[in-house]
Amino acid sequence: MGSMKKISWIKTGIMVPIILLVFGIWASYPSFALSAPISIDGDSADWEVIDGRNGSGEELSGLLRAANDERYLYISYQGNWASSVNMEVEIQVNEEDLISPYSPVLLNFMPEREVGSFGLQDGWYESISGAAGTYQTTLNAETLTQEGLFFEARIPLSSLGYSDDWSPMIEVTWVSLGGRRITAEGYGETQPPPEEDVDAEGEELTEAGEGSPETTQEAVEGPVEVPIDESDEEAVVGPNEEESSSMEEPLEDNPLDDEEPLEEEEELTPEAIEDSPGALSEEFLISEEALQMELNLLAIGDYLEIDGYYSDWAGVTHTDIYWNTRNIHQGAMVLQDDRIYVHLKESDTLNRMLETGAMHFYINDNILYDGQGYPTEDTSMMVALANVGPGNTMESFLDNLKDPGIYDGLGAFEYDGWPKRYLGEAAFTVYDKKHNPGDECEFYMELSEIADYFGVNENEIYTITAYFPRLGSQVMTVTGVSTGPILGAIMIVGMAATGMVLHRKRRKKEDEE
Amino acid sequence: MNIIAVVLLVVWIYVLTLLQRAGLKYWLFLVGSVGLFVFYVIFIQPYLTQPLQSAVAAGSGVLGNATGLYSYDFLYDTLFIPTDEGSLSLYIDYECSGIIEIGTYLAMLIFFPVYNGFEKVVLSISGVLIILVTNMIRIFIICVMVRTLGGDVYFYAHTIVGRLFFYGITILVYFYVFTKAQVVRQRIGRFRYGLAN
Repeated sequence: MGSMKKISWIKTGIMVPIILLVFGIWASYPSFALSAPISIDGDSADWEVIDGRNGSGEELSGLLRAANDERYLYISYQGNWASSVNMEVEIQVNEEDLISPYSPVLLNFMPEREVGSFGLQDGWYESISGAAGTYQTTLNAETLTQEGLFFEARIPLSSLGYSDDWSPMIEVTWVSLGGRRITAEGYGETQPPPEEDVDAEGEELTEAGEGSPETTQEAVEGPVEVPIDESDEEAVVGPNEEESSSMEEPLEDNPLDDEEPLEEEEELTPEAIEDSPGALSEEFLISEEALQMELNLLAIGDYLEIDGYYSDWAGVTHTDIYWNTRNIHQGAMVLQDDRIYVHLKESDTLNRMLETGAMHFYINDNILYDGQGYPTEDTSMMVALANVGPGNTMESFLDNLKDPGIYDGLGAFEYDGWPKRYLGEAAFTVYDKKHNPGDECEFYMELSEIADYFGVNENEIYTITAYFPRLGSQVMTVTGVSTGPILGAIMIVGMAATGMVLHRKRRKKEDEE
Repeated sequence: MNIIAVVLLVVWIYVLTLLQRAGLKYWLFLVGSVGLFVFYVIFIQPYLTQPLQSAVAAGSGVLGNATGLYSYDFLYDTLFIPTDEGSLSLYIDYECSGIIEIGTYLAMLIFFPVYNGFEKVVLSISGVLIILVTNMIRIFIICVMVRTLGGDVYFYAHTIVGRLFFYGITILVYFYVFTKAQVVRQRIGRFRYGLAN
């Protein structure tokens, strides 16, 4: 009976860990989305099942192919080699012509690129985040000169302004190759679009979320027709003034009301703002869709890049930042590779430039405030974005941001009236002259620089907190949850040592007997 | 550095064989477990840290998503807790992953003379899983406290409540694995798993 019980315990001891192990593996591994089996490796074998069409330009002539799945557009060329290969393609999604910066896409075979790969740029000559291109040339056996060229590239659909989760119909026009247009072949198992969504697609494009390319297209294409309240345009920095100016703004004047009439004539409450399609709401970010987006990001290894594109922040949960709930900004902060990455998104309803002039960062919950309620210099580092290089004054920085565009190559600086210590890269995006949709920025700061400012070692930083008094009262904190391994190790060794002493006593006793 | 480590590894193995042949079990346990832990940190821990961080973040994140109290950003091993003051992001790093505790436990268990090979395998797997799950629950407790009581309680939730829970369970595990087994065997003699008396 006793041995049966013992065996039962052993079975339990084996089965429970196995079950937990299986659960752990299941929980820690993502279920990756089905995607086209095309790898961007310079090998044309995975293109064999895709039909193509021949196209020819001044120097190049070859087979053009395109395919797409739910995440990427893939294009390839197989033909003769020429000394000048740079070319561009125009893209049409669901029979809608994309406009700059989403189209055309430039294939840039710059000489300094790593051999075998090339860059892809948008219509504003900015690198497309998550895009990749590789090429291979073949040599003539007799003359040993290059005569054949194969290249392939992938472009994230998100960078083309497409954010739905089913495969769109994409047409690619090879401008440099006689304007040959080919339809991308749907590849891999994809989810068909719901019928009602297809019908309402035009509407959805105008109701796309913040920072979404559709919204941006519209913003770039033409100004918002709704008149903007003067008080909004001249909104002054500072919490109190901001609140007073925006509180005076009548609800009817809100551009969101005109562009995106809320269902059942809902009032523009904070909840309505949060639930509106333009808001990056918490509910959305913790949804399965957002999780899948994160996993997709994981699958393609697309980590945060400071490039003025913000699709890489889509998988990060954001915090609402506001002084009043009618103008809700959003922010996110992530620790990655010994750097603190920050993303800020201006409210779409405020119609003013995103304030990046006085951001405060402090460590280890240690902060003191002066008589005016601002953090003191020794307990908080004030950070501002500015141009990098000589003349990096705030005036020159702000002058540069007047027109819509993606401004990368900026810097995050310690700031005390003017930029001082360089902390890391920054990018700023203005979508519209009237800042609707709201501006966005992203930057990182080296932990070592933060530690140096506060006079501590990096490993003495337990928490980092960001406070944006010009945006709102909310703070974002990043911290760890150490188990206290040293204390634990001491305790554990003590327990084992006790066991060992008992063991020695028993052995000694046995020997004596 | 690697060459030195490999040389030390060879020397360590040689010393272990000497201690084994001399029958010095106490010193075998001491040198063996300390050495194994050191080489675990040098050779294994760099490869194990990231998966373990992700596993702990995912496990805690599953609990957070199930309760709707917080979310997790898988890509950055970060748990996101909305608070009244804004937000608190818990980054699951090297020290949070429990990798040190797991290494210490395994290093000592492998050289602990009380158990036979099969027992050590069973206790290794179950002990590691208990430490892993306990760590996930510890983080869950911290997150729940921060979410329900506010960001100000983070220090107490993390430093006191979380660690008390984690080390409470860990002490129980160590008591059963390293201490109680000795007491039992002192009283009733040796026993073996899976064998009838």
